Amino acid sequence: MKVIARKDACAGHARCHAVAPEVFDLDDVGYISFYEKEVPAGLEAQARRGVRACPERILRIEGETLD
Amino acid sequence: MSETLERVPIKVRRHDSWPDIPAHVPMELVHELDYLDENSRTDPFSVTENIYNELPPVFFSPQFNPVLYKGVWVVTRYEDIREVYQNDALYSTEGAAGFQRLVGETFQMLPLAADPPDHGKYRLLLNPWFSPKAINVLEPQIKGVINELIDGFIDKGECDVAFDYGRIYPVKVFLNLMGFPFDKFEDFLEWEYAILHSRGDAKKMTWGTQGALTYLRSFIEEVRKSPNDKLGSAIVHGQIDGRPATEDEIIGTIFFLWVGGLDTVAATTSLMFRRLAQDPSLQQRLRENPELVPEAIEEFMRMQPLVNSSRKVKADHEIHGVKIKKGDHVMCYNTAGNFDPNEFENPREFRLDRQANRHFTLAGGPHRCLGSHLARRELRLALSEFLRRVPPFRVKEGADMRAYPGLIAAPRLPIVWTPA
Ligand code: HEM
Repeated sequence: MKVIARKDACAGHARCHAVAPEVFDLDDVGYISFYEKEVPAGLEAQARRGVRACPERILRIEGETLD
Repeated sequence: MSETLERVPIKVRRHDSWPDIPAHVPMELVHELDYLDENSRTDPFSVTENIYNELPPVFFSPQFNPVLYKGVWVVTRYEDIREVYQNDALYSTEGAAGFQRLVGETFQMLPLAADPPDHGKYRLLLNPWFSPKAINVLEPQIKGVINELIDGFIDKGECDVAFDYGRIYPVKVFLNLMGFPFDKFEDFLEWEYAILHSRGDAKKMTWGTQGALTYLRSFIEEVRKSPNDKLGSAIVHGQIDGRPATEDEIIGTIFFLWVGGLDTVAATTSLMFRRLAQDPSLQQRLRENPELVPEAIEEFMRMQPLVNSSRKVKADHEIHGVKIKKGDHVMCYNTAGNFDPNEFENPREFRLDRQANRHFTLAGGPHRCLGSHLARRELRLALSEFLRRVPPFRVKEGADMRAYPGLIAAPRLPIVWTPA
């Protein structure tokens, strides 16, 4: 499973990190640090929660649509 | 507590005392909002509960801040609000929060009044001070401030949780973050209170604004001479895009931090405790499950959207078929949008199990509240430390329960408990 981030549109709410800190690494000033990332095994549910938490809707799981 | 029936936003007609309504605004889209009325409901924001049934998704409110804006278009739907926040190519913050103009000042409130890409240059200087990591470092100090306040009233069995707690701790935290001398504490409280709570008394507002600005300018001169490792000094000696910050940029940034960082947290705290004092089972649940506090803070914030952002339109366009013209203002009406049933199930219900709580109380897009992580941490600690130490509390008999669904919130809230 892969998370895709439209990094340039990140506004730094850090809600993804609040619900799934092991998936959503932030940079030093609190914005998402990657464009895409392989989700570590076992963290799939957390990753989905993190994607859903983004008020800007800039996150998605590869191959899945946002609800 | 009894629910009194309040008015919902009502339709109005052209009125002689209003500023001219622009010619392109169709009369059937002119509606006035009564949202600033104080009320005694358990949820003061529920005055907008019929807004989606009674009003079109975009309408023109002629009286909203007539001095600064001459009326605004109001968008009420969650998705439209998100679009306005995110689309900075179409919606500008030019002139935003410009009430310093009323006392003859010409500086801009920063970083708010700057649009991208300039806006990013100001955030670059400030973001490191407000990142989740930076706030982790502040946490012990915030905890200290909060516990010292609790020490002061815990044995008395009562306190005014709005006036003696919520109003105070954000100021103490802010003084420390900025590097303001501690003896300015009382002055800050008074100026701040005069600006926000003088209920339209222009003289008091002017006194508060000028008092704060005069002091802030002398502070700036002082740290210019002797820099330190606090945020105030970092702004005064800050580089914007490789050049030193100008006078206007420095005062605009420091003054806006002062305006944005104090009352917002105080007001949120007062409304949070107002709900808790009336809801023993919610209190109990959070006492038994302190790990739910962060989720609760999000839900308090969703249900208490204190700020509605305004934007200046950069080009003619349409929203829901309504012609919006360049130069018009559009307001993100979070007072409605945070309760949009298409985004939030049972929106008027306080719930701790929301799958996603993507409220816009702290705005969105590039101007996402700079202080959001600080505010969340302050609120979280103000709640969890209070619940940890103070026994179950309730509203003091005879207390005035009126509150505003906005920044004024509940300025006084006496509560009582039985000391352990
Ligand atoms: C619960 C408390 C708070 C609420 C509800 C709140 C709300 C908001 C909102 C809605 C905006 C966007 C304004 C707009 O779009 O026109 C904003 C921006 C801002 N807030 Fe907050 N705020 C809070 C706490 C704080 C704190 C503690 C600070 C700083 C110490 C702060 C500093 C700022 C700044 C500097 C901006 C401008 C950001 C920019 O334009 O890039 N706020 N806040």
